[in-house]
Amino acid sequence: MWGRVASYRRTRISLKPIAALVVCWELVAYVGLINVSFYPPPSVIGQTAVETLVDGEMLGHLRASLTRVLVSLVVGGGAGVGLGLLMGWSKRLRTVLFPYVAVLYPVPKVVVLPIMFSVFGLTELSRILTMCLAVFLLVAMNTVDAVNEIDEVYFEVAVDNGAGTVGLFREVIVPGALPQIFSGLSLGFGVSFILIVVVEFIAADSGLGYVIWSSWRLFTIPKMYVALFLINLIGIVFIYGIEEIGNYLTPWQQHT
Amino acid sequence: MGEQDRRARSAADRARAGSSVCIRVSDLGHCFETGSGSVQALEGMDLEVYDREFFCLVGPSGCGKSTFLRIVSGLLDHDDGGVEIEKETPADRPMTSMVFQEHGIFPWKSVIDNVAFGLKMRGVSKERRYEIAREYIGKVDLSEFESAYPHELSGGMKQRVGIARAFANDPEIYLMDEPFGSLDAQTKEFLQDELLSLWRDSKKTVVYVTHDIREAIRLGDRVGVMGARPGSIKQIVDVDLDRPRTRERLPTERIDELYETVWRSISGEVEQSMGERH
Amino acid sequence: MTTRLNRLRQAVSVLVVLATWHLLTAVTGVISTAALPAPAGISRRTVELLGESSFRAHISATAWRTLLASLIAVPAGVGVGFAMGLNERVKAVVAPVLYALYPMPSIALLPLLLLVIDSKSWTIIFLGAVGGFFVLVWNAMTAVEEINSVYFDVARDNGVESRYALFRELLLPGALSGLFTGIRLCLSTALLIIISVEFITADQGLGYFVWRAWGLYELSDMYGAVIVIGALGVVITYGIGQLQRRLLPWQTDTDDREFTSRR
Repeated sequence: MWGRVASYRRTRISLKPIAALVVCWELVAYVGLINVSFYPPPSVIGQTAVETLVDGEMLGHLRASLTRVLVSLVVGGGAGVGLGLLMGWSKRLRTVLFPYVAVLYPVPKVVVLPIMFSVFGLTELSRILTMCLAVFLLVAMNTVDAVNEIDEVYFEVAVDNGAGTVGLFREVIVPGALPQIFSGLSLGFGVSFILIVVVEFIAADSGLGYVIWSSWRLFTIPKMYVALFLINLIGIVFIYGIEEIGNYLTPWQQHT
Repeated sequence: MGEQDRRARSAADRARAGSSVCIRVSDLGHCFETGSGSVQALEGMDLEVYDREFFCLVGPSGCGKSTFLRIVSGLLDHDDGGVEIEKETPADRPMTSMVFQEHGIFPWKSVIDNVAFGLKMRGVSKERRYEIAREYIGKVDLSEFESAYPHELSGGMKQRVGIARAFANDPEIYLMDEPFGSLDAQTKEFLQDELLSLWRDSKKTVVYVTHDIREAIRLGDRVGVMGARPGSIKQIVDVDLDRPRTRERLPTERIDELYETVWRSISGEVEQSMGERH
Repeated sequence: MTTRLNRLRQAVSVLVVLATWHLLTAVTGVISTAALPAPAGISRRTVELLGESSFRAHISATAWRTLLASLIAVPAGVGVGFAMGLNERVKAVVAPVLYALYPMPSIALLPLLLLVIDSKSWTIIFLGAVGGFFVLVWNAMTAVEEINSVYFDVARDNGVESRYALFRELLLPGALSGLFTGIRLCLSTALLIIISVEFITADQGLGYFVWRAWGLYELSDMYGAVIVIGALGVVITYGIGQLQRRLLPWQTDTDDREFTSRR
């Protein structure tokens, strides 16, 4: 599904509409048509950005958010793919684990947060575990689906040509599921991203979400926009990065 | 002439020719469990396939021909009776190799990796297996497309890759499950010629499943007609046409006669299977 | 392995887990019930809560918000997605905008919206709808695009001429299966966002209830509400799954495959 997304990057890269928007915004603010305490003009935002980045404050928050997202994606996503592949392969495992995964998967993982806090305390571990769990469940379910989608014939072909269990995994299951695994990782990232904002709003003292929340409280609005912009940037890098990696690893797919 | 006599005559011919039995099927039965109950796919199937012959199997859809093939290849276990392959398993080659219908080649591998796949699974070194693969890719005329991916190939080309792979494995027995079923008539004929010439060079046994009677007659030494489900061998028709069976040399009258014989045998079964609820 | 045996195994394993949990908390106290209440306690409290009308009011607040968010997001997502899938020009104009906006988690906009919009409830609904919309729109677009152009030719050959007829006879049924997954994701995402925002800033709703219960350290209440939220999520996901099975009976179940190496 996400294979198609990459081609529109060519249309996306046209920054002209965005540049136009920025200029308009600046003008409208200059003329006084909008309330600049709510919608500071890009020049002010830019200035705040430079200040906070230079003094390291924003960088620290950026690093905090980035770390959380990266860890949850790598650990949660990795475990999710691993378990998903195993569950897709072994009917026995699927039967045993399926009720747990199936029940946990549709639950909005944000509710796990207070549970984690009451068990592990108000620590970074609780925050990251919550995000990992969310990514893990989504990626696992998605991967099981991906393995299921593989045409049965390919298994027959592999066995007929002498593939053992390892061979089946390496030659059929992994490549067959790979495209969908990547779209699942993209979704997983999306979920962890939503979560991280929530977590940093209510239960953290670092991170871009924290910056947004505290600048709202302290009414330092330009900082809020800087953080919003950085969040958007992280999102873009990850989502389209995952997709590019996926495309690179699946050269046999027609990436229109 | 009764079935027994017919078989005896063929057996006598074979004995004269010095051919031994390669695959001996006795009272083969197999039952499937599906969501909606159990299905008896095969029952009481008896068959002898001779060494180095090109044996075609025709029958109405659903009669169990594909099931039979998978049992011979070892992909499926059977419930009753037995399938004996009266040959010694060769040391570093497989006993059987199957050519599948569509989707028999991996979309995520290039042509050469597909053809070399069986060799890779048997631990042949990269250099050696690419060498062998190239040879067979050349025999099916796909050398230009060696590094192409399947989505760049036409249906006919994909089937040639599947055939090349089976031949690269160099088994004792080739099992082919309607390999040209989804192709148009011209491509089919062309590939049939290609297949016959590959087989001629290899001198091995082939069991070829198809629903196309003319194809079966064109290719086979004998044509086995399978009955409707539960499947078993209803009749065996000798195809006494000389080889090589190139287009110019085909005696169309004799072919029509044989076609009638097979068709009469099969048509009752086709009606029966069409009336069945699947 | 028959399905009955499977169900039995599953039930047994779940019971084992519950029993261990009960042992560790209520019976032996290895894990203090202050940190993790016993399953018996939680289930009792959950039933009690369901009996209280104030709790039910929270349930209905969340449920209504989710429903409204979905009623906005689904038609919008499907409409825009289909439009992009069917018409290249629409896609060229709309897609870049969506690409730029999609990576932004809508919740990040919450404080901004709170400054601007008066009603908390509508802010919550709007954010849920936005989240759901973004998840669905790509799904709808690719669902349309993935229908092989060959099918269009076949349909036209068979006399389906008008665009609308094409849409009705061919597109909708073909696109439906991928679409159902998209709709399911849309609703789950909306629920997730809504609960999250209720954590942060609401005075009604299940999310608000959970967060408050945690703050007041009433853990049984918290777990009870979590279970109800979970049930809501399960109903959405599997409810839609069932709907899909009813409406799209041609999809086959691929669960019975088991492949082992034979040679």
